[in-house]
Amino acid sequence: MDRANTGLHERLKKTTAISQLGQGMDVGALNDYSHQIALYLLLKVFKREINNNSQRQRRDLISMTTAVVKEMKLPINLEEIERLVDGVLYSGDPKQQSYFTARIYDEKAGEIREFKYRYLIPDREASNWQEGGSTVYMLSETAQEIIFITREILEEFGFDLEQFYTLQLIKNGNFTEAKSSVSNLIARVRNLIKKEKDWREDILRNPGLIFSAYKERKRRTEAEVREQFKDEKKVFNDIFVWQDRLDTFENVNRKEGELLFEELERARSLHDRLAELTISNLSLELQIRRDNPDIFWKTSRLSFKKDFWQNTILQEGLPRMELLEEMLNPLFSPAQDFIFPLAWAWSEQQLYSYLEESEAELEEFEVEAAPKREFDWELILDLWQDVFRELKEEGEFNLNQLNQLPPAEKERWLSQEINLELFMMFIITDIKLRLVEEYPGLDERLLLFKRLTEKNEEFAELAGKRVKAELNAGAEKLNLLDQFIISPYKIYLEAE
Amino acid sequence: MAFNQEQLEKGAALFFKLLDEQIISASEPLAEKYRSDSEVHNIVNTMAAEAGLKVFATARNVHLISKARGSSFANSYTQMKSKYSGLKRKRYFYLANIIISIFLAEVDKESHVRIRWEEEGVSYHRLSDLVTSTLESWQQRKKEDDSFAEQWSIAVEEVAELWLTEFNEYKLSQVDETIDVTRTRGNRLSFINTALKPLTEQGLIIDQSDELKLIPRPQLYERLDEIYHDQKRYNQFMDLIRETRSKIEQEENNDAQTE
Repeated sequence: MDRANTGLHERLKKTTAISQLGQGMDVGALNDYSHQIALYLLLKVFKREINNNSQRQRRDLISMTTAVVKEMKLPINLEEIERLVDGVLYSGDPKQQSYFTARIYDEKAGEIREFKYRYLIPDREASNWQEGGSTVYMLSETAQEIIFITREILEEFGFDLEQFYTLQLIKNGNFTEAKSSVSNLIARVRNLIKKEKDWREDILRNPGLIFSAYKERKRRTEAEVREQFKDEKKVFNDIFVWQDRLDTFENVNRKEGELLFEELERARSLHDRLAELTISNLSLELQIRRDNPDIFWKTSRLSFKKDFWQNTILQEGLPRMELLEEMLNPLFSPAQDFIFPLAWAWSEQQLYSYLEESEAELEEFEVEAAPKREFDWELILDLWQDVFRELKEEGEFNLNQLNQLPPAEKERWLSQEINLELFMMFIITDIKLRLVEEYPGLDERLLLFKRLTEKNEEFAELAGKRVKAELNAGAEKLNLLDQFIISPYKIYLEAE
Repeated sequence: MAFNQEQLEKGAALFFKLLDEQIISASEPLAEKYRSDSEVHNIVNTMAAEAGLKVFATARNVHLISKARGSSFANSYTQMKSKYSGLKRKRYFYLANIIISIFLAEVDKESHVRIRWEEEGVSYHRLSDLVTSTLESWQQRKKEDDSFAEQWSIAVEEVAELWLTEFNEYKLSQVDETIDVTRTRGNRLSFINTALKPLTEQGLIIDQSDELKLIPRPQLYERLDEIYHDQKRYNQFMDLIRETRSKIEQEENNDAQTE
C-alpha cells in the first residue's frame, strides 16, 4: 500500500533547502546568479572538507566566492560578495545568525511543521575556538544531501553499494569516474565518523539517550557490526587487487590509476578508523548502562528553558530580583584564590598520595599500602584525655581552647601528625564511640577512644555517644604556632 | 561512618584537587575512586557540604559547585556581585543576572531531545534583542496588570532605564572600525561580554567576541542537567518564591498596621 504522500515531508525538506539556497537577499548585480554562486560555493567548501583543508572560515568563504564570481566573469563587488556569503550562512539579518526556517507539511503528523536548517555549520574540531581561532565551517547534512542529490545519488545508496560501484568502474578502466566515486566514498565515511563522534558526545552527556534513541538508531549487536565491517574490508581488498593489474589495462592513463589508488588508500584507513570508533562506542554504551543503572528511571522532563524561565520568571517575574542570584549561584565553582582552612593539613598528604600512585606503577609489589608510622601513644593519650574529659564533663570542646596553651604544649600537639588528622576526622564526619577490638584499618578515632578507656576507665561511660562537630562562625581560629590553622570548630556530644 | 586512613587521604586529595581545578575528568584515578568507593564519595561530599559546596559526577567529569546559599566561598559570580554592590551599581548586577538567565534559557534543551542547534551558540546581537524584548514585555505586563509582581517591576524599571536608555547598542573599535565588546564600556554588547564573564572564566562557554558569538561547552550542559533539570531543586526554588512572596505580604500588612 504505497501512498503518493509517502516520504513527502523528507522530500520537501530537500526541495525547500535547494530552492531557498542563495535566495531572499539583495546582492545587486549578482541577484540573478546568487543561487548558482551559492551552490558553487558549497561544492568548494565540500571539496576542502574532503581534502582535510580547514581554510573554511568566513574570510575563506568570501575569497572562494570572489573566485567563483571572477570565473563567471561577473562584476566583483566585495560588499555584495560578503552579503551573499552571509546569506548562505544565515537567514535574514546576518547579525542574528539565525537558522533558515520553512513551514512544510508533514504527512505523518497530518500538519504543517517548522523545519529549521542551515547550509553551513561550525566544524567544532577544526575551529580551535579554545585557542581563539575563528569558526571553520562545514556542510550541514542538508547541504551534503543537496550535493548528493544533484549527483543523482539517492540517500539509500549505501556505503557498500558505493564501494561496489567503484569496483565496477575500476574494472572497466573508467578511472576518472571511479575517482569521483571514491571522493563520495570518503565523504560518506567521514559523515559516518562524525555521526559516531556525535553519538559518543551525546551519550556521555545524556546517558538516557541510549534508551530513548534506541529505536531511532536501529542499534545492532557488536557481532553484526563486526560482520559488516569485515564485509566492507573485503570489498576494499577486492578493489586493491586491481592495483597490481594496472599494467593489464590498455589505453588508460596509468598516472590517473595511481592517483586513484592513493585516494582509495585514504578511504580505507578512514574506514578502519570508523570501525574502531563504532566498536568502542558500543562498549561505551555497555559500560554506561552498567555504571548508571538509574538512567532507566531518571526521566526528569524539567528544563531551565521551559520551567524556570519561560513558565515562571518570564511570565510572573519573581517576588524579589535577588532570587535570580539564588537561582544562578549553584552554576559556579568556588574561586581558585580561596584558601581552605584545612588546606595546610592536607597538602602534605595529597603530595604523598600522588607519590604513592606513581611509585605503585613502577614497583607494583614493593610498595606498602601505607607508610609505617611511629606514634608516641603515651603522648597522644596524655594530650587527648583533657579533650575527652572536657567532652565528658561539658559535653563539648572548642578547638580554639588550645590557643591558650603555652608554646611548649602546642609543640607537643604538633609533634604527632595524627593529632591533626584526628581533628580533621572529627570535623568531617560524625562518629559513634564504641569499644571494639583493634584491627588494622580501624577508624583512628575508635582506636584513640579504646586506648583512652584502657588508660582511664572513667571514659567508658562515653561509649554509645555520638560525637559531632560544628563551625562556631565568628570565633577565633585554632592556631598552633602558625603551623596549623583551622576554622573555629567545636566538637560536641549529640544531645540524647 | 567508619573509614580508613587511605580513604580519608584519597577523599581529601580529591577535594583539594577539585578546589584547585573545579572540574576534573572522570578518567583521573581520584575521580574513579569517587565513583567506585562509597566512603571516599561520602568523605568528599561531606567536606564539600561543610563548605557550602556540592560535588557531582557525570559520565565525563566531576564538578565542584556552589550551593544556592550558605557557601563560604567566593566565586567569579559573587566577585561580580561585590563589584556591583552599592545602591547605584546594583542594577548592573540585576541586569547581568537577567542576561545570564536569558542566555541559559536560549541554549538549554530538554534532556531527552537530541538537537544540536543550541550548541552552535547565540550571537551577541540576538541575545541583545532578546534582553530588550524581555524587559519590554515585563514593562508591558506591569502596564496591563497593576498587581504584577511589584518589587520585581521596580527593579525591572531600574534595569530597563540602564539597558534601554543609557546604553548604546555597541561601540566601534578605534583601530579598525569593527564592533568592539571587550575594550569598550557603557554599551549593550560590551555589557553582555561582562555579564557572561563568570561563565567564560569557569570554562562553561566560549566567548568568541571577534565573531560576536557565545558558544556553550559540554560542561555547561552537565551543570544545567544537574542543577535545573532536577525536580527537587525545582520544587525548592518554587518554595522559595512562595515563601518570599508571603514574607513580603506579611511585611506589607505590618506596615499597614503601624501606619
